[in-house]
Amino acid sequence: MTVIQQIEQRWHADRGWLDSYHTFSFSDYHDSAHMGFRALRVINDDRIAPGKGFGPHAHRDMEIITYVLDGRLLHRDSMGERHVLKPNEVQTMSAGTGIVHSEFNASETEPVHSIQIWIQPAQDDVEPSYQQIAFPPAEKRGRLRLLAAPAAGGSKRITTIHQDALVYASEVESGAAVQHVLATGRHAWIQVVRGDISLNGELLKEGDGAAVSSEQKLLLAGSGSGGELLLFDLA
Amino acid sequence: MSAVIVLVTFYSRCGSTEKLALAAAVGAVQARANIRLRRLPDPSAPSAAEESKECKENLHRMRKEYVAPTESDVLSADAVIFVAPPNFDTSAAEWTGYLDLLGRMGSEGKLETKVGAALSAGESAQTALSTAILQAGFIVAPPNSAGATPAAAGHATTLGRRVVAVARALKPREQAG
Repeated sequence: MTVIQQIEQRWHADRGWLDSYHTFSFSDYHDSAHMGFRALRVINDDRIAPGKGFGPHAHRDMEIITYVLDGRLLHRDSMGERHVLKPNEVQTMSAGTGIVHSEFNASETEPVHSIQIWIQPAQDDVEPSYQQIAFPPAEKRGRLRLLAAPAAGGSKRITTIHQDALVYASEVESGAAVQHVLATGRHAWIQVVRGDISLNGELLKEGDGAAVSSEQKLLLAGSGSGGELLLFDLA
Repeated sequence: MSAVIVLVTFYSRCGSTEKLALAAAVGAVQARANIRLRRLPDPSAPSAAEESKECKENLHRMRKEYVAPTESDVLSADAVIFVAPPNFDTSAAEWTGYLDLLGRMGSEGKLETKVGAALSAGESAQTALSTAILQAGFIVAPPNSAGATPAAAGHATTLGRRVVAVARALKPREQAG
């Protein structure tokens, strides 16, 4: 069964400096029917004006994954981490017992477009941690690039999260396709972050999402001029 | 019971006191409070001659990242942690307006059930700030232990947790009353 959430069904918040679409309930937007999917709690599609950003604020017991599509995002936190996140990189922060961080557009002239994802951890009170990796863009072109997994096995090519969830990114050209097989009992959320993608023949436009349960094969094909997606393989 | 709200108010020019404030905020978050961080505005433009490059960068950044505390921030908080530089005294220009506001709120009975705590890397500064917030009308949570070295980051985090514990203990009494 596949349930598609079209971009028009997302909550749109325009604060001037921040133009954001919330896939699930977030901040001022609360809808008990849209509190997430499985352990996936938040997908925010944020466009932040030059020089602007989120001032220092706290998180607890949440796996927070940030993926930049365009521009540069400056992260600072109470663990002393200070990093700029760019396209073809992923940042994973385990808030655990508590962190305070800020996120600002690192540019004074160009906007930044980023996707922020929250995944509920399997256990509370883990030690807070910060991970950031970069990868060649070829690794996500025409294939699924694993960004986060529960057991990276010491690999520095994948970030580790405290949940039974796999997070992939993929760019699919027009006419090309990638396939993902869900194990029995697993679920998937597909979020199209750029362009158009068809999921088992159903068109998903930029900003659309889809919840998939009781299906095994996911065929993700580039539609129109192709697109980019995030795929969440969830327990 | 609703979550305890902790307002962390600080003044920092070069970032050292900001680190203490962040550490205290983390302690409050560890104790499952909601936190708000506010920086007191600069009383005057910094003297370029006396500030290092790193200091100037931090000052520029903090001015961008933080907003100043308001009366509404204090009213909505269950506890306020005040974090001051080691050279703090009650006549410091950046603090006088805020302390005057707190004094007025105290005289109006708006601080009766609020917990306050002072934090500074300077022992005399911490004592002076603690006295000032006690006089304003806060229920002051004392430092972690007698003779503790003031304000290493670990101390600040412990204080953050402790302030939440005190504020949480007071909350049911406030509701029952």
